Amino acid sequence: MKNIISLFIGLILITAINLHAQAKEYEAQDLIDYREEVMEAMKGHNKAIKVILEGKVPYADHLDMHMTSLEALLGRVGELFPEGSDFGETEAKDAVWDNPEKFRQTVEKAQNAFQTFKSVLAKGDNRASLDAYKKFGKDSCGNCHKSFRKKDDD
Amino acid sequence: MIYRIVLMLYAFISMAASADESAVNRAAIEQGRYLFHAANCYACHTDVDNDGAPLAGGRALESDFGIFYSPNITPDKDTGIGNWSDEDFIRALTQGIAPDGHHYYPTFPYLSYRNMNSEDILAIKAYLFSQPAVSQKNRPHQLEWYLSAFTLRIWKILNDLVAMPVTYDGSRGSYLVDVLGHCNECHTPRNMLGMLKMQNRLQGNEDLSAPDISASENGIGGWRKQELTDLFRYGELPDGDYVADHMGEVVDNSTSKWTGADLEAVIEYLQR
Repeated sequence: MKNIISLFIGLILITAINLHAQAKEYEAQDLIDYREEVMEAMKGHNKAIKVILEGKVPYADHLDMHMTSLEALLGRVGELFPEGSDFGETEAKDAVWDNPEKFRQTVEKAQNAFQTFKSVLAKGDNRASLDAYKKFGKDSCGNCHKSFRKKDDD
Repeated sequence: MIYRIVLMLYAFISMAASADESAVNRAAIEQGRYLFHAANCYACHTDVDNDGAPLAGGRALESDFGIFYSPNITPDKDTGIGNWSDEDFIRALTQGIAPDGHHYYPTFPYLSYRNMNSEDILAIKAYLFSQPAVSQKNRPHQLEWYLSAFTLRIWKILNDLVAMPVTYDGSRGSYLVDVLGHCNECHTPRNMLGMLKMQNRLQGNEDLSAPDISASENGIGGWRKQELTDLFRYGELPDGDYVADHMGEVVDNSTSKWTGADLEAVIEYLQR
C-alpha cells in the first residue's frame, strides 16, 4: 500500500514539474540576448577561419574545430527566432516573422553555402578555399543580413 | 538591270547602316547596364520586400518626413517612363524635375546625379528601355502635413542658395563615390531641413545608422586595402561581421559589380 501511495505521489510531482516547464514563458529580451551571443560566436568562428586560411596565425590544426562549431551553430539558426522574440532591443527586422518562408529559405541557402565552402576546403587548395570562404560569407551571413537585419553602426 | 543594281546597293547600304546602329545601341545598353548598377537604381526602384517586379517601383522608403514610394522606371508607356525623351531623362536625373514639370523630393538623389555626364545618363536610359515594361501605377507618398509641392520648391531654392553642392573633383573615384554611388546621401550628415552638410562629408549620419566612411581614424582611414576590397566585394567587415540592410543591397547590386580598376579608384579616393 505504501509503495502504491509513493508511486502515486511521485507521478503527481513529475506531472506538476512537466506542466510547469511547459507553461514557462521566457523573457523576450533573454531570447534576443541569447540569439545575439550565438551570432557573436558564429562571427568569431568565421573570422578565425579566415585568419587561419590567410596564414596569419599558426593554428591550422584549429580549422576543423571552427568549421565543426560553425556548422553546428549555423544548423540551428532557425531556432533562434521564436514568436515573441521580435519585441525588445533586437537587430532582427520584422521581416523574419512577417515572411517566415522567405526567412527559412534564406537560412537554408546559408547552410547550403557552408556545405559548398566545406567541400572546397576538403580539397586542400588554400587559394581556392579562401575564395570559397569569401563567397560563403556573402551568400550566407551577408545574404541574410541584407533582408533580415537592421543596420547598426557597422 | 541598272535599276536592279541600284536597288541591291540601296538594300545593302541600309542593312549595313542598320547593323551599325544596332551595334551602337547594344554597346550603349551594355555601358548602361554597368552604370545602372554603379548608380544602384535597382534597390530603390524594386519592391524587394514584397517580391515586386524589377524596376516597377512601389518600394517604401521610410524617413523622418514620412514614407516615400519609388516610381516605376520600366519602359511601360502608361505607368513607367516609356514616353520619356532623352531630354526628359537628363532633366529628371540632373535637376530632379519630371517631364510634366513637377519636382521630385530629394529622396531621389538628383543632387548627386547632377554631375553625371549626358552620355552616361543616356546609356542608363538605353539600358532601362531594353528591360521588360511592367504596368504598375505609382503609389502616392505618405508624407508629413507640412510637405507639399510648394514647400518642396522652397526647399530646393533654399538648398541651392545655402547648402554646399555635392563634391565632385573630376576623378574616377569621385565619380563612382560622389556621383553614381551617391554615397553622400546616406553617409553625410544632414541639417534639420534635410540638407546635406557637405562640410562634414562622409562623416556618417546617425539618423540612418550610416557610419563614418571618411578618411579619418574615426572612419576608414585605418582600414587596409584588402579590408576595403572585402567590404565592397563581399560585404565583409574587418571584425568578421557583414553589412546589413540597405548597405547589404548596395554591395549586392552595386559595389560587387565594379571592375577591378573602378574598385581601385574608389579605395584610392576614399583613403586620400
